[in-house]
Amino acid sequence: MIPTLRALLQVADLPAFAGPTVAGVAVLYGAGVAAISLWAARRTRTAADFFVAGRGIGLLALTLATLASNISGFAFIGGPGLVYARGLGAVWIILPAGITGALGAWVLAKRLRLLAEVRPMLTIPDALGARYGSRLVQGLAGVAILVAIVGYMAANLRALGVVTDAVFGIGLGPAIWLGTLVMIAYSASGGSLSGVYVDVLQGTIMAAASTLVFAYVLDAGGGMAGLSRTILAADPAFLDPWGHLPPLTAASFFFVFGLGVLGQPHVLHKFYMLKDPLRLKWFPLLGTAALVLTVLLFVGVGVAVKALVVTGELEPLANPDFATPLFLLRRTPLLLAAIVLSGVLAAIMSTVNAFLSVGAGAITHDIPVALGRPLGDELRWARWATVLIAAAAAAAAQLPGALVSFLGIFGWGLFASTLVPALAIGLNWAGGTRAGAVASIATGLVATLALETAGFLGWIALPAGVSVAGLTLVLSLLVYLGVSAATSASARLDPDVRAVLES
Amino acid sequence: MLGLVGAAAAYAAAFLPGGAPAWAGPLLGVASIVIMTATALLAAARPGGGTLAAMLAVGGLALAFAMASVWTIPPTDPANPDLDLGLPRAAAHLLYGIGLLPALIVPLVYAWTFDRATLSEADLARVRAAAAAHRGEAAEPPQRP
Repeated sequence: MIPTLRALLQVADLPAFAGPTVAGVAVLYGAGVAAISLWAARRTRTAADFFVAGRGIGLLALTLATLASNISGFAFIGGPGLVYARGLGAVWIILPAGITGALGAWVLAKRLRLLAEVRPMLTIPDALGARYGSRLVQGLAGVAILVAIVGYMAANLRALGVVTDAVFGIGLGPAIWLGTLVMIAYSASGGSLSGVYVDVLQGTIMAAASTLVFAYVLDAGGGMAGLSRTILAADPAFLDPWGHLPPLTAASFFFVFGLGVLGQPHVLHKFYMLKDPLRLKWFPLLGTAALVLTVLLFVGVGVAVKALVVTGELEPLANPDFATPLFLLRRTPLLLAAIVLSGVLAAIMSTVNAFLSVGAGAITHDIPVALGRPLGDELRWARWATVLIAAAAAAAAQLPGALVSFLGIFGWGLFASTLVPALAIGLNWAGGTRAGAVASIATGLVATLALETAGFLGWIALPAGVSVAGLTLVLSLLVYLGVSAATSASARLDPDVRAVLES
Repeated sequence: MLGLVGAAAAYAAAFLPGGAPAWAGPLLGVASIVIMTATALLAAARPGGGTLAAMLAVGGLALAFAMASVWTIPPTDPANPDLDLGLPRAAAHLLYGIGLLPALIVPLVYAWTFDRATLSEADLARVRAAAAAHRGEAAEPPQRP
């Protein structure tokens, strides 16, 4: 089977880790999260505190928070498994990491942060509403985000349940609800303020754990050269640039993940939170360094496990997702394995928290604003919306794995196809029009839902190498540019928004 | 637009009988870099952004060339592998050249050009002044004709 975005979701079972050391570290980690949440909950007094951390965070917090939200559990479990199964072709998913930090900063970080200087920005659809002077654009973006989030959240809560079950051995169903309760507790109480500072802890754990594991990777195979020679002797295609994947699939990963980062609202809305916009100067440097360290495990473990299987030191894996757990248990000290497992929990939880915040924003802010009925007490409603979304997603996460995986695939691609054109191009090109934004968001939403559903039901089968996310991203970009060109006479900007676009 | 057409052509080619032709992969890889570079150039298009725009254009061109050349490097001989920094040449080119090298250079370019080409105190003051003026206008009652 050719991997698609489906492979990015962690819905398969993992081997059990239950044991005092692993469970103890996970409990310690949970206590750290709880302490930060309590601290943040006491400081969350307004909707701005809840959604954008009171717009008062520093550069380091921004860097680690964006890292933690950007990286899900896939980077630790599914990704190394994909490398083990498909070779270097899987690495094209993270290949743009060296560019995306600066690209995001040039294209969006400055614009979004400056918009927060001129208008009260709480959500990413707020930026679209201001840019196009349109409640329709804001509402449509809110709906697209909500559709994407519930499915993506279900997949992530399922992943949280899978890992929690592997650590505590309590069964998948109860583990999903336990994980959800923890998420509700810290997300509903402290919102983004809680989320950001928990992200600082989580991002630190993720980067440190990945770096340490990579040292063991090199040790396991006699350095990169030793690993390469072992693998080349048995499976030379594994180390081809696209491994065992069709080259178009590998290039498609690069396209979708390189450009798609410009449409991920749960990451982008963190730019509103930075206290001093001039501090963005160092964001790509710190962010890229942290990201590169964090993805070392992604590449290293998959390659190392392949070499260990070739030499017979590990038996061939029944499931590629076992690559990281087995490597940790067999080749690293138990304490490090426990910390990495906490890192996996951290990665999933930080992503879920960011989704909850963005989803609550869509329900309590963007859609009511679009309908001309803004809510009175947004903080209270946002807390309830957080509980509602988490509960709905947890219920969906109990569905059969294939269905959860199907729900989850929408997320990344839907964010990219609906938001990249209107947001990333629109905030840098005064020629983009309201009609172009509406048409591109609608195209992304409808095309992604239709193609993914038709594929899931077996009505269509896309050729090898073609992903729905890539296809719909191209389509919505073309629609945005085409419709904007056709309606260019209607292009207009408020003076303050124009100042942001021209800065 | 050129990059988008390239990406669309690469995907469209996969629907041809016999599946994606050999050029579809490199075309999509290069088109991705063209689109990313063009988007960054759009962001850099402002007074004082000339140096940055030139650096982005040169960097994008180099990266697109590096991407295209991945497909031209012959596979290594498994019996007597020729390794660069521990990896077969094509894989090293991919991981170190396209993955790691930009990670070392691009953030430094961003920081180095930030004050002149991205955001300065003066830019910030201008935006804040525009916001204040807009708020002032918005606060005034609407004029009746």
